[in-house]
Amino acid sequence: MLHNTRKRVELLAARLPSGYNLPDLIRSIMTAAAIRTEDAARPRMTILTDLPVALVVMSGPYDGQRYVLHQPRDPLFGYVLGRRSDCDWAFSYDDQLSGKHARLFRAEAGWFIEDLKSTNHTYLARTRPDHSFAGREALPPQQPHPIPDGQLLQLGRLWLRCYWAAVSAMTPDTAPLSPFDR
Amino acid sequence: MMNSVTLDYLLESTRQHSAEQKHFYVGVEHLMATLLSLRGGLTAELLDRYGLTATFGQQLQQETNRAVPETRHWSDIWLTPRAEQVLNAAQALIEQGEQPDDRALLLAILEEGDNLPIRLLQALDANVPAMRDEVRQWAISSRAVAPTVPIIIEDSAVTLNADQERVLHTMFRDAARVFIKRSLQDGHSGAVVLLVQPLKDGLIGAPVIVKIDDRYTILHEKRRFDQWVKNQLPPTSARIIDEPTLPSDARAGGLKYTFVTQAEDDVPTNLRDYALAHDTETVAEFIQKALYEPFRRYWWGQSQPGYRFPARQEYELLLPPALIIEAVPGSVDALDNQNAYALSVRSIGPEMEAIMTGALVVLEGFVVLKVRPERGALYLSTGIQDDAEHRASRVEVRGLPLTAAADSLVNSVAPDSFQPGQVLPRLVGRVIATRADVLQAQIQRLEADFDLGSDELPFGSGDDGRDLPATLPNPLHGYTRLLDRMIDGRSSPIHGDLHLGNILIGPAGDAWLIDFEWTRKGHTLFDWATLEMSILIDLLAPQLEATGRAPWSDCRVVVGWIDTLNRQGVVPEEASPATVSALSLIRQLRLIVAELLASERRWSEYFTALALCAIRVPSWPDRSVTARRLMFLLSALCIATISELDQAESGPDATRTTSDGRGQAI
Repeated sequence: MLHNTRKRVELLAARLPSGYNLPDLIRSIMTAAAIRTEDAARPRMTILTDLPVALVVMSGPYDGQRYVLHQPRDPLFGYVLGRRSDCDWAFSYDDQLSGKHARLFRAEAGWFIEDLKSTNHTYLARTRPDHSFAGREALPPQQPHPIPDGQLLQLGRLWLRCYWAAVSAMTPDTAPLSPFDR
Repeated sequence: MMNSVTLDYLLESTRQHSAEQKHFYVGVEHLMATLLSLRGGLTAELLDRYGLTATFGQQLQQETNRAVPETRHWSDIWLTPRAEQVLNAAQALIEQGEQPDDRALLLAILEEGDNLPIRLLQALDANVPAMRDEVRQWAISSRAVAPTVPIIIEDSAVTLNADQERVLHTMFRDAARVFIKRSLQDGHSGAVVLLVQPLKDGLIGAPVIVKIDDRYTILHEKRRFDQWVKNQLPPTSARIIDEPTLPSDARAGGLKYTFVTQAEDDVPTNLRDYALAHDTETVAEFIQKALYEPFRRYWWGQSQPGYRFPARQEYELLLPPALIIEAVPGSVDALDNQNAYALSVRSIGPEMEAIMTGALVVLEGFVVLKVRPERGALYLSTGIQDDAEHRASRVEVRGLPLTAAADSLVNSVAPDSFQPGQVLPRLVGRVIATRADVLQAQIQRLEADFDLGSDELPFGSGDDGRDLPATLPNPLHGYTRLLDRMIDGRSSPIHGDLHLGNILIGPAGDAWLIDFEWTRKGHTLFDWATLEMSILIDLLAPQLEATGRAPWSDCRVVVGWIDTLNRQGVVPEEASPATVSALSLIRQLRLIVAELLASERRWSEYFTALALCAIRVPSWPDRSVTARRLMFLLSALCIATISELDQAESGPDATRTTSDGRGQAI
């Protein structure tokens, strides 16, 4: 058993590109795994449950539509955004949205967005100092990323703006009439 | 910056553009694309200055192409909340005096500041605040309201109402004055067609043809023109120039057609006036050489055979609405009532023809075709998208509060305003008249000297020694079966309203066609049946009446001669001179029709078209009684001719089978 494992490790080491050595590699993999476990655990522990958040659609047929979310279904996980009807914010018609695409939650340090291994990725808008739009960058999956108030996000193809400050003063739009259901 | 593009035109063309791309919604990105497409418009000029036109245009295109695909059909176009907000802001800017409308819309988009086009501009590193300031401070050389340009009318037959004058003021806002040289068409449908010559900087400008009509009709015609005519006209022909003129302070709109004359006294004329002034042979040659031959290549000759269709599909649009209903106010739950008929967008003519006066109907998902506040009527149609425009059975609705469409431009969801293209989810009404009632009433007004309830009309008296049938079938009873008849024809681009008044004689004797409101791909023979009718109505009927009102018997004599022409292919010498000259022209048309028939010598195709074209004429109150009587009898004759042809084809007493397998006696 031990012999077999050692043999596999030797085979693996032989295939490594030059400049890498196995002990260093193992160490860094172990560290990354530890960080990830820690990361995933931390916000889960300190999540704040009853804070409202507003989402404003920024593209497509619903461009300009505002939604206010008050209470996540799973208070320990936060708001789930996606296509499926059991999401906290279900946007069923966009076919580039994954069933559960991303989650949005409040931890002590502020609000976070996390891609839930979506097919078409979650992107953050890059902005210049004057707040103008300068492109987008994909978030690595399953890594929470802090977002400021009014952050522009892209889920698959759909652009959204996310507000968390002063949401209680915002009124949601009346229930949207779907253009596809008329 | 003489720009007369209005906000509703911008919205209309955006809707059109969006539908063509199968997006089915209008977002700010679509509005921006429309602004960018205006030739010489502010938006293109601004982006040009920033060196962004090409990249921005491409990226906008890519971005809009990424829109959600949606395969379901619906006729309404959804405005995104943001687009609605931007349009309302633009409307507010216009009301504050910002001009022209495309500038107001651009400014509203830039001021909204958080939309897709803005993000694209920012991604391209454009200085959006600088652009916005520039558009705000743009020097305006046009005044907020078009100036009053003196209009000098040189044709005593022309009178203009205030709306029509506003269209001319706006269209020729940079002219010192405009001369109305003459009217080119009678306003049968409320439209006027004028030959106009502007005077600018002391110089007489080139004369142009101006058509003024309801603004939605004008927009509709421009779209038809762009789709079917623009690239399919012979080089020597009238074409629409510039965007439509739609003054913000009038319900009417206008179009300008080119018309190049070579000499000052080279006054154009329409084919009707030309025919009155020239001998029959010259006119027949004009129809063959100037009209048919040059246009054949682009229109009727580009036909596709194997077009098998129920006559209803091409000809029902000519008839009065299938139902006239009075809207029932409040929320009557008519579905609980067993006497209510539920009609959906899939409902077709025969279903509606079975409904009697007094019945309660529930219309679901019908599309607004036309709003006519002056008649207190709303016209709805079944069918989806383009089908709804022409092919479907229409319903006229009375008793609804109708606001002027121009006032309710942006707030398309306001409950008491209706706009063409809008879908009405549910409407309950009581039938106050059916199409059969309307047709019957129209014929009654012609003081019939026979029983309208009878299946047969008296025809040949035998007095004049001609071998005419003693009776003809009553078209009031025969038209529905004719609508269900299957036609084996050809389809091609057609003009759609080819009467003599729409054919102008150009400077070198060319045919210049105008009025493309009904231009479409359709039954090839439609235009020729329309033209044959026009010859009888516009040339022959006035001459029959010259000696006082022509009684039914005179009309029977003429239709008898048409029967002779149908049977023998020759013009009867013994007919009156007026009849001979009209029939000579018709004979020329028939030679053309013979070339266009789907199968050689199968004339029932043409007579079905003619019968259905003719039965609509009694519904035109501004046509003479003689013309209407003549057309009613012509329709009857065509129905008789069709049955004879059918019998000859398949032996006596044979029945024809329609596509749905039902036997048919005609």
